[in-house]
Amino acid sequence: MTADRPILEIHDVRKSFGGVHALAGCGFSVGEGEIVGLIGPNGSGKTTLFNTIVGYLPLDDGRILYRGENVTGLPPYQIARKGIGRTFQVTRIFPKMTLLENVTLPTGSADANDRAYELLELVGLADLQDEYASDLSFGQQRLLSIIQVLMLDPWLILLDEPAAGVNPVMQKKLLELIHYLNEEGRTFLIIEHNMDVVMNNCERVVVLSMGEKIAEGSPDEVRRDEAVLTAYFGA
Amino acid sequence: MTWRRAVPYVGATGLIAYAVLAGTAPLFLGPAALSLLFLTLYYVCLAGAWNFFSGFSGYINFGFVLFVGLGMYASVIGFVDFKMGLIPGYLTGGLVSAIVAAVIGYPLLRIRGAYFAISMLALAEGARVLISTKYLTPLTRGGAGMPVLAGNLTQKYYAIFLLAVCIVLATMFFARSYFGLSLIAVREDESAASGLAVNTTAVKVSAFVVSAFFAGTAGGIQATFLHYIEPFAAFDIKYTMLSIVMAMFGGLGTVLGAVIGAVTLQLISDYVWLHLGQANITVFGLILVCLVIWMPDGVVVRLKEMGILPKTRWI
Ligand SMILES: Nc1ncnc2c1ncn2[C@@H]1O[C@H](COP(=O)(O)OP(=O)(O)OP(=O)(O)O)[C@@H](O)[C@H]1O
Ligand SMILES: [Mg+2]
Repeated sequence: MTADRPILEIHDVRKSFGGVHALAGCGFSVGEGEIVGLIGPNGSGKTTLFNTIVGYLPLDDGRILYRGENVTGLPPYQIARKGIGRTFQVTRIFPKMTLLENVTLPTGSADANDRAYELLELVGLADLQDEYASDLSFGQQRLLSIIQVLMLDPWLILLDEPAAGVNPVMQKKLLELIHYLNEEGRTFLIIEHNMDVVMNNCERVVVLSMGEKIAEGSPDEVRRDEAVLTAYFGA
Repeated sequence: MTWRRAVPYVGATGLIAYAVLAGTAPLFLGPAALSLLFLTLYYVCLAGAWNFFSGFSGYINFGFVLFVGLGMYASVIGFVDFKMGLIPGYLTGGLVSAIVAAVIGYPLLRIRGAYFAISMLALAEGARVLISTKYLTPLTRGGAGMPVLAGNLTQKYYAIFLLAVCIVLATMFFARSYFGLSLIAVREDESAASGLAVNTTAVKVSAFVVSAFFAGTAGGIQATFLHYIEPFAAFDIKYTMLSIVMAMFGGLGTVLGAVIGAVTLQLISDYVWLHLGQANITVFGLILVCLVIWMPDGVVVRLKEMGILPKTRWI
């Protein structure tokens, strides 16, 4: 494996729901160790792309490679075991499981490890570790779902609007955590509507519109791009 | 409040006392009382076996009696036609049910919710009809049924007692393990669980097979207790319904729920039967409705939510 082989390669993926072309031939790659922002207007196919990468939705056409290996069509649990983790736009946790159980499950063991306690501490949920996740506020559930994915020990982390509904203090902590994990060599692909978050934290941005990639580049390049302005604000 | 803190200790003491008394019952109980206790333990087994899969996974099995009935037939055929000993005969019942569960589990457990429930219901009915057809009559004796003479009451009693203990302990280890944790996660959010590296199909099918094994073994023991089986008795939907009601009453997806449900409801139904005669079904039904409104997830789950019992999986 060469050092600069991309960790994720998306080749011309297509996915339709009836007449809706959610992904209409879209392709880009993400390099090992990058933090890439994925932006685009509502309904542009960002979440659908995540769903196809992690095996939740079968592709109509196209290929997805993880570290050079074709992972198209694998079941979600195998993709997760290979090291791809994702969070959901609408938070999904296991309500009638304790916080500790929620974060232990992804490790493939029933016994909580040190990292579970560390991460719970980090997001301020350590005191609630033996309570059911259903008792948490929405913001807390969001934080729980993010550390849950980290417990997979993933090397490619897909976050679907991680900052939505999280208070500014926690948001700052979350971004610190992302950068810390990035220093460890972990790669992030982040869907985010908050432009400040994207501009300040991503090295590179990919822009989707109507299921196609319309731009790709540094935050500054993308911000000045004609096609992007048209997609967001109309002609 | 102090009584809250006393509940777990009183409960644990009661449970141990019950186990000790039940374990020594043949020494001091006459045949009539022993038979009643046998039935209670039989329902502990059924409710426990049902709960092992459905309580933990959330896939409500309405065709559970399929495994009970198959176990009855398999073990009775073992005793009558193959002259098996008591324990090999009972285990044959469990094994046959487990094998059938493994075969039907893979296709069935891919469909969610109501479809799974309806398919299981249909399969249980289908098995009853199949057992009576002329193709299987040489083996099953069709509608004429099969008499069976195996073991004495004390032996059968100890068999059901041991099975009940095994089921409770197995459920406890299961609940503590990653296997049990991942089945609970399937119940809570199956696709989220698969995204967190849980092989959901494997987990569901395995638990389904274990549940069927317990049900089939219990069926075999019950068949020798009844001395006679025929299709309607072996595949009686009553066994499914009582297992569900008892497990739900005690607490779905808990270890002690099935025990508490089976013992309590068996006591209530005996009492109601004794004092109210024909009205018992109605009164029993009303009691159930009240209980379900008050504690929709069952006693143990309610106590955990109230903070009286700790929220540990192995209780
Ligand atoms: N399961 C589905 N069934 C039918 N249509 C779907 C499904 N999932 C997505 N779509 C459609 O595909 C298109 C892309 O949706 P997607 O959720 O990927 O957009 P998005 O970029 O994540 O939008 P947002 O920023 O609002 O989250 C939309 O038109 C949506 O209605
Ligand atoms: Mg989306």
